[in-house]
Amino acid sequence: MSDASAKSNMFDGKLFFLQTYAALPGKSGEFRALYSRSFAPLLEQRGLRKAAFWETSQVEGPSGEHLALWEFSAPSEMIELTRALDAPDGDPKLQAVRDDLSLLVSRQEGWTYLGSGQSLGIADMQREGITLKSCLWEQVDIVPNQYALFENALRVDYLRLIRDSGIRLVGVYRPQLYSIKAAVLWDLEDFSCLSRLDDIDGSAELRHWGNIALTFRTAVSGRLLRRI
Amino acid sequence: MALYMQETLKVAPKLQADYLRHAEAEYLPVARAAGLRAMGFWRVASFKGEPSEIVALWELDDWAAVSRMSGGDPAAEALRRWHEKAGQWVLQRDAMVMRQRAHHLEAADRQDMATRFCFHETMIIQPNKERDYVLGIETQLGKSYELQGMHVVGEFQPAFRSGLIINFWTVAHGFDSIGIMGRQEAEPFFTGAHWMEIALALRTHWRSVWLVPLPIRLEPSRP
Repeated sequence: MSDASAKSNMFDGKLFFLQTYAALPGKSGEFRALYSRSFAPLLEQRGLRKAAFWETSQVEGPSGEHLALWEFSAPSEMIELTRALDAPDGDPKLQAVRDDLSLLVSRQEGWTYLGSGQSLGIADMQREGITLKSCLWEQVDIVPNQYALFENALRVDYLRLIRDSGIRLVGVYRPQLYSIKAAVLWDLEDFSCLSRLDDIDGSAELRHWGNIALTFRTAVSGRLLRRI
Repeated sequence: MALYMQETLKVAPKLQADYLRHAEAEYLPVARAAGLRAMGFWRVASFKGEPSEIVALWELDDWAAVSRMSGGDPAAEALRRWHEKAGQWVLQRDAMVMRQRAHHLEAADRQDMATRFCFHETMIIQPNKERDYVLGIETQLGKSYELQGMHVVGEFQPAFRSGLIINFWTVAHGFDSIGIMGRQEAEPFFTGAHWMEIALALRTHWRSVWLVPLPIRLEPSRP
């Protein structure tokens, strides 16, 4: 058994905040400009570090969907942020921009994600030349609390199938206080490297992986993301 | 390997004619330039589903085409501008990359697909049974339905969503073919009832709708 599965808490030390927005039809440009120009700098002032701001690709996922992934260092930062955003005596400037953004979207969600010990932080990504320019973000329905075994199987069995393909595993995450969901982030050299999935499509190895994965996850749904 | 994209659009019926006029003049040319080949545009029939839903099916050469569409070249940018502009008609848009699993199909089988009334199924498949389900359709239910003028023209598996198969069937007689489903007399081949028993092991439930072809010219008109 590897170190990751032996740990009682594998999700310590890697903290992320994911924001998902669905821009109203025809409002994507305006939304992106306001988010980048006004909202993102206010989060940066509070110590959050932007990993990426993406839009969902034109071929996979809903139009107008945008995701922003932020790294932060300690739970206290997120408590301060939510106080600033949600308390009546919070940060009026931050709340005003948030409210302006809300007029441009039909849906918005924020989730705190806990990254596994082997997940990369922004500094790790920079060191390894990972740009997050083209990504696959997978939302996984997981067998309750099987995170460590799921990640081990992913790293041992699945990575072997896609080695040298240009598809790199960035991290495995779980939402805070939620035991049946996980997320997996993949960095893609570009989307054409997904042709590796065609190479292994229908193979006995992929089917074998599918059977192994059933032990830990029940469903998976992905989004192709393009960094803005 | 060719890839397919199913696009679902929510457009109020009152706006659909205007949307289609602009789509034919503006969307199709930029989509073609970006590497998308339109295979059909349909609307969900009113008696079973939401008539505000438009389903479009597209073919792409490969993942390199996906990559080009996601980059910054002029064709990809033009496509993005169209989708932004289409917000005046389109309330919601979703896209899904898929692989064709019905390998027995000939190109001729789907030649006139765009002009045909289609039966469209979104099947929720038991974990890891997608290929078994497709095989079952090809060897059993498909044979039965062919005798009744229903031809499978697509069994698509989404590339990034597990547990789904999307079936497209064309029917011979448009609205009059709706009666095929659920009729009581025995079928000469495997019966629908027999298939239902087999399929229990392969899928859990499904959503099916009838698709009415929309008046849009998919190929550019020739001088």
